[in-house]
Amino acid sequence: MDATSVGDESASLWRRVWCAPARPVNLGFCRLIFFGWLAAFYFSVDFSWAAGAPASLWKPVWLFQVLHLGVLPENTLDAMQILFRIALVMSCIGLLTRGATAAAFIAGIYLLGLGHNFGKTGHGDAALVWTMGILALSRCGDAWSIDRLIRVARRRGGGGGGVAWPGRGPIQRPVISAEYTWPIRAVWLVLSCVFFGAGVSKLAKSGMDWVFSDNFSNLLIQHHYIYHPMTRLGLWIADHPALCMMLAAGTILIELAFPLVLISRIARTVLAPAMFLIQIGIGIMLSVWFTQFIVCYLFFVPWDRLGAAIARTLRRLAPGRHVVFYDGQCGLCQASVRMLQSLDWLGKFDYRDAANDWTAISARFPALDREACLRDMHAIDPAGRIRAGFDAYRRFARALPVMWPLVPLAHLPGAATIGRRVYRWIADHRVRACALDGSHVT
Amino acid sequence: MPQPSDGINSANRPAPTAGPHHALMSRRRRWIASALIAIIGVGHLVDISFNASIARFNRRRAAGLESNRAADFPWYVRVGSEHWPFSPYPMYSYLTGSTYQVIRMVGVRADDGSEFELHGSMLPMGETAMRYTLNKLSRRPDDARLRKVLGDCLRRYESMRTTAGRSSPKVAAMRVYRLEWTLSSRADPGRAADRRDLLAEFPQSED
Repeated sequence: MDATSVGDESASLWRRVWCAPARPVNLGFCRLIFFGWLAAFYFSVDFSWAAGAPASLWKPVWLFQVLHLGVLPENTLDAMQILFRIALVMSCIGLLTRGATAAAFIAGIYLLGLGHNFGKTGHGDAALVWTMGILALSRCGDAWSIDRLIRVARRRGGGGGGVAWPGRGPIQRPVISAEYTWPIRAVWLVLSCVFFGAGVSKLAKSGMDWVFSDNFSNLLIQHHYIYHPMTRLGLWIADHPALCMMLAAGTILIELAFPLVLISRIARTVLAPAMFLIQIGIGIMLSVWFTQFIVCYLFFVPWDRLGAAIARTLRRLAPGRHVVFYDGQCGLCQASVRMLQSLDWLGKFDYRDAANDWTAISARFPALDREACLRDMHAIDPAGRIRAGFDAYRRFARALPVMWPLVPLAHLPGAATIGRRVYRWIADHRVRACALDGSHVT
Repeated sequence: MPQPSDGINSANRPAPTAGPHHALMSRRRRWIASALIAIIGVGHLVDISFNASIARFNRRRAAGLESNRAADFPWYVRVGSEHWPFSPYPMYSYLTGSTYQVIRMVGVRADDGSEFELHGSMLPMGETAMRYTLNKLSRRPDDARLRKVLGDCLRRYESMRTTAGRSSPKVAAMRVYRLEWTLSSRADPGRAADRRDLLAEFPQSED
């Protein structure tokens, strides 16, 4: 193999790892869960203790030294941690995602780093800081976010980076891009550094004695003097030297091999769950829980394929499709259809433009009236029942999993009366506000 | 092609041949992503490799194969062994022996002179970090720094006790002990230490 082909192979591998185009679903869903988890975890963590910590304990880490950062006054720390929590929640729901994730990263690197300046550098949150930084620089708000819904409604493109929705009409073509691949792979890289570093450290500091001595057994016993592990399993394992050596060898092997997750799907399938189980095992046997860190494993889950499998199952359980008839000359109606399509994860809806495609519609659905379809959005459910206006939307809510929390509210006594009136008012006033080209709509 | 159960075609859905739209990354975005990936990868590799080199050097020195040449790693030694948020992740990498030592800080009650363990919000920082710090300080040849930290902790404790109106007892002194257990499979958090050495004490009267 000559140098050129080696170079080509390397470039091809690099592109496969970092630049394979993907849909935004995985990254968006990872953002939602990651920041949601952090928001829940750090909601009750108080960072302001550092303001009152004795100066004699202050021993700044490298980053704080380089940036000349010190401990802020208590009220400033209080304000900063409130900002941090708000940024985490906004990043989770995907509201002003770019700014929120950047704010979460900047506040996070200071607040999470602060505790490491007092005698001990911990290892549970550095990966979180890197992940926040990666997400802050990514297009993670392009799916599963309020920003996305707003962009879809305004028709400003949901592909990120100013990429307009391709195609005309309300129906969107999905977007794929390397923008949605590299951030996930970068988190894999962070975790690879964490585990590979841990494996190398063990071998460098202790050599093979870490495996082939009573080290692992001692480690399991030690923690029972100061912690309260949830089981005595650790002590039982400590009594079996061969098992201890096997577990120690397995741990180092998995840690050293972990970087393979970057290039091999098989490695991802084996090593990521194995490492996850090791960390759960450490929690159970040593009572050392990597609570906030554990969320990083979600970046290994193929959420898009998982979602598609769930959607297929749900479609099998409740077959049939809804047909939505909308006014293609009305901007508000088009925005509504785009919103519906964004929320239609199960693929249960078909859309028909009553303004421009009436000939085909009337041939297939002779019971429908064009004027009525242009006046109110109409829908035919899988059972063939026709609904219009608020009642159609109430039926849509039952078919859209994300709207299920609203279904009981929409069926409260009086909700239908109010809902129909609100719908009527909006439908009657949409001409002036929303006509696409000034044409008369109703 | 199978029809939906209601027999309705979806004329407005994109044609199967259309496929997804491939939005290319701009050159600027590619540079940003590459720079971040390089920073993460190279930064960690530097920490991991330096840490491994120093560990190997220390092991060889302990075995008498190497003289003291810490000057081999001047930059790394000067700026510390970890560079958070980079790290060589050395947790649990040292060999454990058949005994286990823990440094523990206790308060001495002003009313009856009995000792009570300080934990949680009674400490100026997290328990693990506190233990780690006290452990490092206790290895120094003189206890001046350890006593200073104890004095600071006492003042902090008293300040929190009085301002927050806690029910915590007034303390007459702070003490640091080194506890040692000989490892056994009957380990339990309530088990008394096999050995208990007083390392330092800071009485309230000295404040």
